[in-house]
Amino acid sequence: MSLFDRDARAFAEALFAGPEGPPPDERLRWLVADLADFLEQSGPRAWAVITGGLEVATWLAPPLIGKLPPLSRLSVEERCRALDKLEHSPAGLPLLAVKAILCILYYEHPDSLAEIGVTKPGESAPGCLVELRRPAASSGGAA
Amino acid sequence: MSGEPFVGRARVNEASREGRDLELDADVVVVGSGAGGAVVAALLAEAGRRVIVLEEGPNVSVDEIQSMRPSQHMRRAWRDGGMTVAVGVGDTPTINVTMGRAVGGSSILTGGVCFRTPEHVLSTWEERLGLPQFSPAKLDAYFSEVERAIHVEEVPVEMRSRSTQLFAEGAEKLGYAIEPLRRNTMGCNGCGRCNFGCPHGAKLSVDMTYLPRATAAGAELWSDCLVERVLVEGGRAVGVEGTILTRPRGLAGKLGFGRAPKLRVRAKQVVIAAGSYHSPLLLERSGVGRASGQVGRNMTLHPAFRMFARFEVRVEGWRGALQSAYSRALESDGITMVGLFVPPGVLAATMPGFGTEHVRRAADVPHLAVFGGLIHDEGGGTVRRGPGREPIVTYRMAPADRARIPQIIRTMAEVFFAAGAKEVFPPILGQPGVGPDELRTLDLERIPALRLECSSQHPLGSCRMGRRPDDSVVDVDGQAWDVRGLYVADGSIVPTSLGVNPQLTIMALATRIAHGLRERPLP
Ligand SMILES: Cc1cc2nc3c(=O)[nH]c(=O)nc-3n(C[C@H](O)[C@H](O)[C@H](O)COP(=O)(O)OP(=O)(O)OC[C@H]3O[C@@H](n4cnc5c(N)ncnc54)[C@H](O)[C@@H]3O)c2cc1C
Ligand code: SF4
Repeated sequence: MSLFDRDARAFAEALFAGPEGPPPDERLRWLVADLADFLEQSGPRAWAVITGGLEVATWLAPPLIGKLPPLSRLSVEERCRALDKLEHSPAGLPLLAVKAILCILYYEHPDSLAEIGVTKPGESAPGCLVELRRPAASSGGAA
Repeated sequence: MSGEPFVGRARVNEASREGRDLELDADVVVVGSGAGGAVVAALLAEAGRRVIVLEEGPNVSVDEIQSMRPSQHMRRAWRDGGMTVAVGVGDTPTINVTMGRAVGGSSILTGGVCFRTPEHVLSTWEERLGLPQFSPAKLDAYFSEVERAIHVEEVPVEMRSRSTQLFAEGAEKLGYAIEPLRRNTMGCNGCGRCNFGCPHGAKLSVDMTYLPRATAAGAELWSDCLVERVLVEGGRAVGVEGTILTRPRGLAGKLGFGRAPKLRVRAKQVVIAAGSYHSPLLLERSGVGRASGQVGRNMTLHPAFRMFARFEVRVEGWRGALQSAYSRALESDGITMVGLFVPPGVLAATMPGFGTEHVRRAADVPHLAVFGGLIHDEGGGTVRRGPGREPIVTYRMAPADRARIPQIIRTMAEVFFAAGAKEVFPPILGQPGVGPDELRTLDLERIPALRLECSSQHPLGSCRMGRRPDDSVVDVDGQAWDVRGLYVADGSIVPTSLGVNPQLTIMALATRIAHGLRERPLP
């Protein structure tokens, strides 16, 4: 796993962790691959904004709760607390970009949409999403 | 033109597929195929001129859009995947400024909202800037021509989403008038997908109207062509040159080495329509307009703020037209409130918190309504050359504009509460939802700029037109003061902020410039 994959996954595991823990491994792998595809296609500035934001989260969030970085070393609960602190700090803006793009991608996945009640099981996605064929695991931008 | 608009598909030459240098020759070369450039290209091609349009972005067809997730559209057709910013200076939030980078430019990303330039804005142009050429009466014919060409129609009340209905109910209770929007659509089914390209070909953006007209009349439209310099000889523009955006083949290409094919177009007239971020960049790189000291300055943005509100009932705001109603109740305060909606993932993205807190909030997405407010700003944006291909843009908000932010937030929140919202989510980073009492105790005047979420879709004015070469970049016909045969015809020439969505103004001004060019003999 590359450092980028490690950091993006650590962030996503925390962001989307429900009472039962982080989302399934297959969905996280798809998400991280799709993020990499997004950045490759969107150009160097998008890449800089997101990797910069991830670096901030990876290295600056843990000390805010008295832990040593990187973020991936922390338990999921600790990561949530650390990121929450960072979100309320002046460094919250770079975090927003990472959170925004991860959410945009994550909630295009049919299972994520169903989990937040946008669709009912078996129902197709709303028109504003148009097409939501089930992405293959780890297939990057495939859909 | 009369009757039904010309709707079709443009013939696009994808330069990246050619794999070779391009040397072309034309009467007119148009740089940028967005709202401004497409209009000029069509009108001049129809007048018999040999026109070449060069577009940096790719061609994204309706067929492709039909099979794209919103984020796939963002990575392909939005500049920087939607992450372009104007860096806030002083007490100003950093603003996410979105724009298109594709055939059709930002026109393909719009919600379709169409406003004529408000009369009070045109009065300012006339009285304060000395531009009587732009009175409502004198612009009427240009607006009418564009409105016919892109089929501007009123959004029926039945197409309003529940989100907009709720805002309208609250507004009515508080005495704010809500009016229907007009949009450039034909056969719209209200799927709410507009910002990610219309998969049904129902939004009549320039890729469906003016660009097909241009190529039907013989214009050549080339995608993947980054123009880097205007060629000037003896004080006259004689063409442009740049790079074809393609990766060289083989190992060298994969590693990022190798020479990208070059592009050179000789032309008798050059029209720059690269948008408010890139037109000034191109002029500056070409050494044009330096004497005025105005290239890249005076940019306005319409800084915009969203408000989410949670209702007990399911709102499912994604059902219905994305944008259908607005309010100008606060127009005299420099604020326009406009309906909008965003896909569930974008809604969830701005929910505060991580882990269970975020997941709990995200489950509220079907219960959220949204409205937006934009500031009719005084300006304060500057576009400068950056280290790479993209500019560095900064924005310093005028104190009067900064003072409007709390008013926007409060007004939209109060409207939603009047409609029965349980809590609202102001555009403040990490701010949990607040009820009516908590809203009153929020010290909105003192929220640091760094914590404000702000966006813009309307950069304007960075190569403004005017009466004098020392305070503007182009004259009232769009021609650069210091280089003959060089015109600018896009949002960058709009001399002040408009307070309303700008595509119609840009297209009407481009129409006026094209009419002028048609009447002028070629050199
Ligand atoms: C998400 C979104 C929603 C919007 N909604 C509305 C709406 O509902 N109503 C409304 O009135 N307005 C709306 N707008 C604004 C409107 O789309 C723009 O104001 C308008 O399209 C600007 O026109 P333009 O010609 O100045 O630039 P653009 O339409 O942006 O076109 C500029 C083109 O030039 C190309 N280009 C740039 N540099 C170069 C170069 N060096 N070489 C070659 N090509 C280059 C770009 O790739 C781009 O395609 C919206 C904008 C966005 C981003
Ligand atoms: S609502 Fe749907 S059909 Fe109508 S213009 Fe927007 S994307 Fe096209």
